[in-house]
Amino acid sequence: MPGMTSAAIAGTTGPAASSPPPETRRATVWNTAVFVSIFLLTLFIMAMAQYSLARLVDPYGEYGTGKFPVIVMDSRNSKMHLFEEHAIHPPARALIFGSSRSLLLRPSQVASMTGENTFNFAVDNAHTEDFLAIYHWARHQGVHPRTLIVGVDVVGLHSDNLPDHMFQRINALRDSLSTDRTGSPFGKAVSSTVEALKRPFTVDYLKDSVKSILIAMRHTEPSRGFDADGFLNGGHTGVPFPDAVIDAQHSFKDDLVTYKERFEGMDGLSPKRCGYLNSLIEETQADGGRVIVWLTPVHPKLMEALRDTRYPQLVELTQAYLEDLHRRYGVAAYDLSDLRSFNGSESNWDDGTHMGSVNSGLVLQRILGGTR
Amino acid sequence: MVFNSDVFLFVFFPCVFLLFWCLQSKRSRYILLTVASYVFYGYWDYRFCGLLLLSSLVSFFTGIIVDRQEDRKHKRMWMAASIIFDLTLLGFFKYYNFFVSSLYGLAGHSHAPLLSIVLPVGISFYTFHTISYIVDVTDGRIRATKNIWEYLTYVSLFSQLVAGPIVRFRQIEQDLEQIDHPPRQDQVARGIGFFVVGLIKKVIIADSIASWIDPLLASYGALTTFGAWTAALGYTFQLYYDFSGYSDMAIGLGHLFGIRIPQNFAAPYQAEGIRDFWRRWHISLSSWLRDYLYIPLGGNRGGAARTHINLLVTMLLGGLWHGASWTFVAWGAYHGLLLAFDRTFERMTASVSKWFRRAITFLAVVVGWVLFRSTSFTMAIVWLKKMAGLEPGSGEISWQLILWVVVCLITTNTLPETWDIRFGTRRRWAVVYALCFFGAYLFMNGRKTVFLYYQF
Repeated sequence: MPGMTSAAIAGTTGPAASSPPPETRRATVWNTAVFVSIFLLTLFIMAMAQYSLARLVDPYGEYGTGKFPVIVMDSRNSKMHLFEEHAIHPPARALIFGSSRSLLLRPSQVASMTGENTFNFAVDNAHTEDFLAIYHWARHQGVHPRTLIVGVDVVGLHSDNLPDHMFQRINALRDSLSTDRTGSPFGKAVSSTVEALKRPFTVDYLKDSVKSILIAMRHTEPSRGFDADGFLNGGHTGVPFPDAVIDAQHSFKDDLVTYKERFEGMDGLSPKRCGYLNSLIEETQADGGRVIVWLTPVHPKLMEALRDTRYPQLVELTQAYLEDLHRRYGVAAYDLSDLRSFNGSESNWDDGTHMGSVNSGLVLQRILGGTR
Repeated sequence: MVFNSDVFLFVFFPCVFLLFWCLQSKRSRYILLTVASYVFYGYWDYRFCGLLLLSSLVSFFTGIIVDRQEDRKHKRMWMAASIIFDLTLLGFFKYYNFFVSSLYGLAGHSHAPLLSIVLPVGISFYTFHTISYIVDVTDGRIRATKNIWEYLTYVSLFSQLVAGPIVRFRQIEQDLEQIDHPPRQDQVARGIGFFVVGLIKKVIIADSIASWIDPLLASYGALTTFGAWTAALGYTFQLYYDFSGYSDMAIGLGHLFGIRIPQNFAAPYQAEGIRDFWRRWHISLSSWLRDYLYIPLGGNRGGAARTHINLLVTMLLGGLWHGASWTFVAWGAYHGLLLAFDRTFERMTASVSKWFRRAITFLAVVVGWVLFRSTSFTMAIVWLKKMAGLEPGSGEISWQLILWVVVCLITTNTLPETWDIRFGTRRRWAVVYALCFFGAYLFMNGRKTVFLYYQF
């Protein structure tokens, strides 16, 4: 093209040195080797520093160092520890699965309605792979649940197939889901070790380490924790988790932005994730257990705000999927996406997607006491 | 394999680098680089290594045959045969489905006989390498190499294989001939410097912007006018930092093996006209199109009308080269028209203030990127309408994206291009580069993102 000069070639045609004499060659190689060595040594020092910081601060509670607060509440790890301590002897006979929306389903209520010792195994940002992996893990601990109460969210079946990053950090869960029986144990061990070593080398890990240190310096404690049966409580305060009341004037603007991000890029239900739930049902039934699935609601005002997005379609797809589960496996499937279906209150909400304990109690009454 | 992946950074590259400098002879280094490049390429899909080898062998032997011909007519005949072969491969793998579906669409048929073809990554780039080689041999600009390993190294060199820059044999011939020289500290330092800057551009800037832009454009129908402009500007900077970051990394890798790969970007958003823009953006492609398409078409030798037609044809084909989609063709045509306009009103625009020309050029380029990024004409039209305020929207824009756009607007207009940085070559700079590399690696956050130009 006219005007296009040979700028492209600029800098490429500088005079190249003729072949150097041996002594110069040696010096050149030596200088370069020193330069590269300094570069690598600095990298090594930085890597060691970052790894040591990660081990010492342990912001995700992976190493059990315990010197600084775990700042990302890892409900999976916490509940697995609680389960090992309290739900194996005597064994839990009913398990509650779901995302953070199911954290306030009270195990004692289930126990009183079913007579089964119950553990709430709902975890943050759960997808169906969490349910299947936890079920496998619980079975591995020698527990044989008779009842599973599974709260299904639309985003729990997201087509991106990306597991929660906390799920990926827990080998026991990840491995219990793995269907890959190929490859040598040595290869798997190497791969697993490399993954574990790599994990702290992210900017998120560094940020969270710094946050953890700052929290320790300010002497603030996490505001939530779990009871022995997995029920959500108020953390260090030792008091029950404060029940939620949403203001009538509450603006759902922030909820809308956050929730739209959750199902962004979701073009349908993930066949892989539906497969995980199907497997969970098949395995539970094969073990002589029963499964109850229910579709979680969002606040009616948030639902209204989401009307022009693809969310309503995704809800319909999920409803159809639950219906299909009922037909194929005979499981009890409840569509509680509408508050009216369980006489829920519009005010007992923590935000646009999380119900308070009163509404959660009504959900349990509906699915354990009612007819489909 | 991508440059910003663990397997490349911590396994592939260190092994190849160490082996390369342990080997002494030219031949062994050529072989190592060739084998390593095929491993690099085959890591994505080993089946296409054969295609790369076939294309390379055909042009290598054709080059030798052309060199031996005395008669210019015969030289050109062999050249044409080789080019037709290369273009047939490219046409089949990249454009078969596109043309067939377009032709059937025109004829009103809905069921075109489409094939399940996987586009071999990098085919657009290595095809241009082999074509430029054959044309240069035919025109006597270079002598055909008799060393097959040297030639295979040139075509397959992993630093430039997948997404350029498009390097001509004559540009690196001298370095290839001296590949047995010992490593030089200044060259290695510059190589690391280029690579680190490229990595920072990609993983810190481009990927951060992408994380905001991609969800935004997934629901482009909800964009407001402000949102549409922010998205367009965001993509403008994402593309620049992604591709120039890749080019910097490729140049850096070249330096680390003693090969000086040419400049590919020269602060393109500081251009004062569309011609100036094309002197600064993807320089290796624009100069290739100029030398191997525009000039052979007649260039500016046939009067104004003919020149404009040549420009349009060149840019249309340049657009099509980017991808088998009508939006790319439209983008090429748009730039062809802008170039023709630029030529026609050259004298008039020369008197306008420099800053005004810069602003107008930038805006014209941003509008072009809307076509480039859009996956369909529907998307492009909706997006452009929203930018023009002709369609309402309700979507919100994150302040982080706005901040990125503002920062990038400032940096692209004030900071020097990587090529203009005088990289420190003393030992203390090794510490600086290592710290920057480490920081950039942390920003990868365990993700492995692909470069935008890999799709072309």
